[in-house]
Amino acid sequence: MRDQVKFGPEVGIDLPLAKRRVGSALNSDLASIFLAIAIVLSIVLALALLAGADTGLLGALVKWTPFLAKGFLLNIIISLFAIVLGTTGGVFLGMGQLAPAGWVSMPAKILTQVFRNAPWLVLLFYCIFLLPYQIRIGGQTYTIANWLRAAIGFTIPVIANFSEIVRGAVQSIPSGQWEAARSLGYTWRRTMTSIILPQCIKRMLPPWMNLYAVLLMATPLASIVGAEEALTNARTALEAESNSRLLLPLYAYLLSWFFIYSYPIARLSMALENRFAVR
Amino acid sequence: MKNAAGFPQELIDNFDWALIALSLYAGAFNIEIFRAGIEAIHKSIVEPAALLGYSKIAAFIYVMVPLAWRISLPALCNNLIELLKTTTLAYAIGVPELLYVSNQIWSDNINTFEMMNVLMVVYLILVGIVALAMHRWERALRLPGFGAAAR
Repeated sequence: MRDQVKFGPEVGIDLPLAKRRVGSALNSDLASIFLAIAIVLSIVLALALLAGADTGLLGALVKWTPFLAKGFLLNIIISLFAIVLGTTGGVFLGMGQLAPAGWVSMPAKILTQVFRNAPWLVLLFYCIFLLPYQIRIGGQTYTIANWLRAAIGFTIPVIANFSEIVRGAVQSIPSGQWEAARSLGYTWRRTMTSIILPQCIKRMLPPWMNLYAVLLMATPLASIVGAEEALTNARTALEAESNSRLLLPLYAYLLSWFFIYSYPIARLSMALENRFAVR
Repeated sequence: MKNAAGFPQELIDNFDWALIALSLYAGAFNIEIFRAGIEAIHKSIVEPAALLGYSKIAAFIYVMVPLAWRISLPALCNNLIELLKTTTLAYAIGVPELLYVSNQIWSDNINTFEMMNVLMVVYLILVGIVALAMHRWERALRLPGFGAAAR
């Protein structure tokens, strides 16, 4: 009922925008991505120069770049980990929601709603505090790193959100497809796996990319629970420099990285959405 | 600025900062939603307004905005619910909201698991209330004849 999914096509009113942008979508997208990145970088530069007329601040930014990059890499790893596991889990949970048998669909629906409507930070705290610090496999003890537990914490809401995306996509397939499959003697499972889901991939792609962008923007939450990602590293760098004028430029610099990473994804998902909106 | 006891106080405290940051964050999404809502209005609805002598601005105010508002409402409600969940982030800058207070309680009493369950249930109830109210409102303002919501 409350889909994360973008809203245009579902309403059934055709978007003039969709028709306009089919042809040269990719070219104009690339251009606008570069433009946006250039604007962001120049804003950061201007902030850095504004904050201190000397070039010392810029030098500090350059000096801390590898350290920040290490943290940012962890952000990306966390997000990739969560999106891969979350998508896999979400497909199953989503199909579970649609299952004809009530004892399958009811728990799946409840799980989806509970985890979709809980704040990400609360789920993150659950995973950080309740997952074991160490596990013992065959006599050897492994320590689970903080970032890994955070990544598992992110996986849970991703599963629930993707489950809703799957449900929405499957329900947007005309019921004629189901009826035709049934008249050809397909079972429910065969209909789902070889007829409905392949058609859904196209519709799920744009909201899936949205979800990934949201997930990436949520990964700095891991710094609250002690993973050494970009935000933690930025704080460490600030403490090491102990220069309060660095505060704004450094955070703006970090912000620009997130923007540069996730803006192309957002544009691509918009372009895909527009392309698929034409029927 | 001085507070009631005469101690210096920040002009914009952490609560205000959380308010400002969350407003900007949610506003950015709302802009996109309104844009989509306005774009979803078909030309054939606006053209008759021009025929009837509405100026562009009048057509926008009296024809497009009411329609766009009703089209955008479900997405706006989603955003509100999303925002409600995002308010936990104020924890990170030390605003004494639900998560922060729960954290204090479980630090004092070492009852992390129980407090987390309380936290979760409170949020689910809050979201449930907002979702229910919004759903009813959406239903009441639904555009007849448009979309799958007619079911």
